[in-house]
Amino acid sequence: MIAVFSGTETPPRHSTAPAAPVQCAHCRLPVPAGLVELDAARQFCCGGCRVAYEVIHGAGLESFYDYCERLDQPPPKNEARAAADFTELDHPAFQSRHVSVDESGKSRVALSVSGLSCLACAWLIEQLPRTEDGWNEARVDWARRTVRLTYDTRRTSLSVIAGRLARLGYVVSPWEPGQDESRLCREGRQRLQMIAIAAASAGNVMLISIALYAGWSTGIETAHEQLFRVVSGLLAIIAVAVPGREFFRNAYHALRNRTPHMDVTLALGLSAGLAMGVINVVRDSGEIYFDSLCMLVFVLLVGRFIQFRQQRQAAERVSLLRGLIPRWTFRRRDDGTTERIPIEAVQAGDRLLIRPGEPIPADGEIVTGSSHLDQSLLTGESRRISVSDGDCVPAGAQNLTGPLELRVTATGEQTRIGRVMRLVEMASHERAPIVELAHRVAGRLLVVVILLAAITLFAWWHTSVETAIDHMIALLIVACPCALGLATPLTIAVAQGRAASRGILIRSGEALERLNRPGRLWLDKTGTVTFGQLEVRAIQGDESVWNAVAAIESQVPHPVAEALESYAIARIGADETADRPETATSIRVEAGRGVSGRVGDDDFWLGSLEGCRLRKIHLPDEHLRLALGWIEQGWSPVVIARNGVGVTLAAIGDALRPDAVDAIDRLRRAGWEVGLLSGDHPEIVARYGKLLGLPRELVKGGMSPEDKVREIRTVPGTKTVVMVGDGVNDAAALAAANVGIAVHGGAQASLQAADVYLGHAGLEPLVELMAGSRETLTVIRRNLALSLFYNATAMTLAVCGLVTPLLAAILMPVSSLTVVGAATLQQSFGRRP
Amino acid sequence: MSVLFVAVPVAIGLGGLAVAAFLWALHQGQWDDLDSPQQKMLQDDIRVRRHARK
Repeated sequence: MIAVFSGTETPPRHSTAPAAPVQCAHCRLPVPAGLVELDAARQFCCGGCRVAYEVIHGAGLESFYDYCERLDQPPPKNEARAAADFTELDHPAFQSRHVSVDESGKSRVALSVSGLSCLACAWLIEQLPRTEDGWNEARVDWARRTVRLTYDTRRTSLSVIAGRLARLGYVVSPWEPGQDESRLCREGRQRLQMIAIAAASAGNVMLISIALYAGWSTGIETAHEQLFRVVSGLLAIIAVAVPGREFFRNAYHALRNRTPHMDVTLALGLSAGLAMGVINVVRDSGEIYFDSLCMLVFVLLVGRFIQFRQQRQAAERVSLLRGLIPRWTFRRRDDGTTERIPIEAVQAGDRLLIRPGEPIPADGEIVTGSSHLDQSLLTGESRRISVSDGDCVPAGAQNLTGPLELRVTATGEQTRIGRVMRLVEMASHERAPIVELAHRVAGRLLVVVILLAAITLFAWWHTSVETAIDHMIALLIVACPCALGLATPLTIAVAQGRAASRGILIRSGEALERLNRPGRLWLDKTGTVTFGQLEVRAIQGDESVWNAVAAIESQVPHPVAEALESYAIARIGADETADRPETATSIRVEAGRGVSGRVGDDDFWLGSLEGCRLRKIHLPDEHLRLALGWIEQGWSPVVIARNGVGVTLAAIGDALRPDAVDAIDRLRRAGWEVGLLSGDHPEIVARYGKLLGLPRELVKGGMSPEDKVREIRTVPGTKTVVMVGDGVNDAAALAAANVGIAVHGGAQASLQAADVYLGHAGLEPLVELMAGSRETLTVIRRNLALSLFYNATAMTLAVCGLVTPLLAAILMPVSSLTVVGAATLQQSFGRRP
Repeated sequence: MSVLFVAVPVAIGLGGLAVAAFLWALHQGQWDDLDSPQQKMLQDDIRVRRHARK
């Protein structure tokens, strides 16, 4: 029998298992066949989910599930691996640093929280205090992924609360806002303060101006007119001197650096308009433009604030190191006893004990013990490596099978993972900012304005000096690029919102502009173009071997063995203990080739084609041909031999995502050079490159994080380099690329380093992102054109001496509203490309 | 003499009070997080069954 499954299907389960995949009652993921309980009302995919479900029901918070359904977001799988022990949060050193206590005994603390996937999670966390005595309040700050807790120290403790949250899959850790964080917070407040002052001035001046304009047609008492002129003059002075200060400061810097800037034009217009207005108020005749000036300051500050918020989102990068290494570890004292210490206390030379299943907290050398390590977080390579005495192990790797005692050689920033993370931070700082389109345009506008001002002055000089100056100042005021300052930030803000509703989170607006210059696009292999999981893809031959396979492979810690084991268990049936009487004996692992063992009366051998050849195992020709075909497809064939004869053949592989070929094709048509950049074995990567039809020089395997960064930096010129990836090993590359895109299911660190996060699996969203960014840039260009059209019209009128304060006061808001309308009504990210 | 000479400064003064109130709220941190509140208001229509365990 030949059974070949395409990548989208899961292998068929044995007939005793229910036909439809069983959903976990908590996270809605399919329940592995081995865990299905036939007569239970609810099925769980893991113990974590079971606990979470029971806690939620026990607290009467079932509506969490309704809420998730409404949001169309399944609850996150409860993967909290850390033991539910948070006693170090009660440690006096921690408490004095992070917790503030008020006189009524209430403690307040802000912690970062991981595992938040949607708003329902925030809701759930905020409801939890109702079920816990002494826990007063929990407030989730969604944007920063933090939770503020208020609790009564006399009735509960922080470790108890943290334990409660961990049982639901939300793990808290100390939150240390960086200096950037508090600076940005202060700056945000400062900007809002200035907007408030500018808005109040603008509103009041406008009201007063309406009275003045009405006075022109119906007549107005001279005393009233004077009052209005003086009051609006005072308000305008406040608006220009306090909130408008920013423009003068920027203009000063721009002049000193000799770079034309939008703010030079603004400073010119604002100061000329204000000076003329004040003089005209004092001498009690002539035009005043106070309403336009205040309006200008207000609208521009709003535009800058929107832009500031976008930049702030992009700048929020939490310490990357934190999530990867444990918070505490065991140290062996000189007298042989062990103590539990926080990670900060670990020093080079310490002896640490690491139990199986724990991550390694510091770089070190193994003193005693042997085990297998999972380094996939660091290298992206899915293969496990075995280590023993004398081997060096890196922090961040997962210890899988045996206890280890190691002598610390480097801690914290000095570890390999620490250096990689520093690389990430450096890469994201070094990225050259692009000169915004609006500023390039405004720089040229400045030259035009100064030329036109000179022409106006010269042309009207013969009439009278006073008229000439009046007209020139009117020109300087209407030349202020009011709508220009709104066009880009507003369009990007709206595009970000629309993209977010489609599951694409764009952190920096710059990314949208960069994505419009197609250059090179690097894709990570595992998890990006493939599913990132090894599974049995096809089988051929004798079906009676699965009992033996399960018995042997259950004792071998290797991804291929795991894939075979889970497939075998699925074939045997749902209940793994009752149906598997056989146990394997005399298991021998031949590294990289295979494994042998004895089950019942038969000798079994499972392994690669190469191992098969070395062992001189007879393989039917038909099997050999099929196996070679599988290699072509990117699968690894495994031979299952009984008593020296190959009886069954299984293909193990990571499946290509079904949309990958089509998506890559479309990206290439859009002008991108698509390539693969992977930490996996070069041969495997090359096979996938061939499957995807990528040119050989753009397919690179065996890349370390540093190699990836180097590869990204080699692309010369102004073209954009994009990196798409998901692992920690991609984080540095994501930060170094012009645009880093993290894909669904990626590690926390890669999310932090990326500019864009694609919330849906597969490459389809990538194509959507490219199309959306193209449309957004079109809208930005259209808006810039619209706003410049306003300036051009107004300046032409001013040169002709036709601008009055009323006309300026009407034109300015109209142009801004046009831009606002065009930005809001844009269609980018609206439909599937 | 017109009432305007009193009314206009009074109106501006009231406007100033409003700005002062805003600035107070701003420094209280009420405008620091502009993302969560807009979403939190949607959550109230889900009722919570209180203390099922009791």
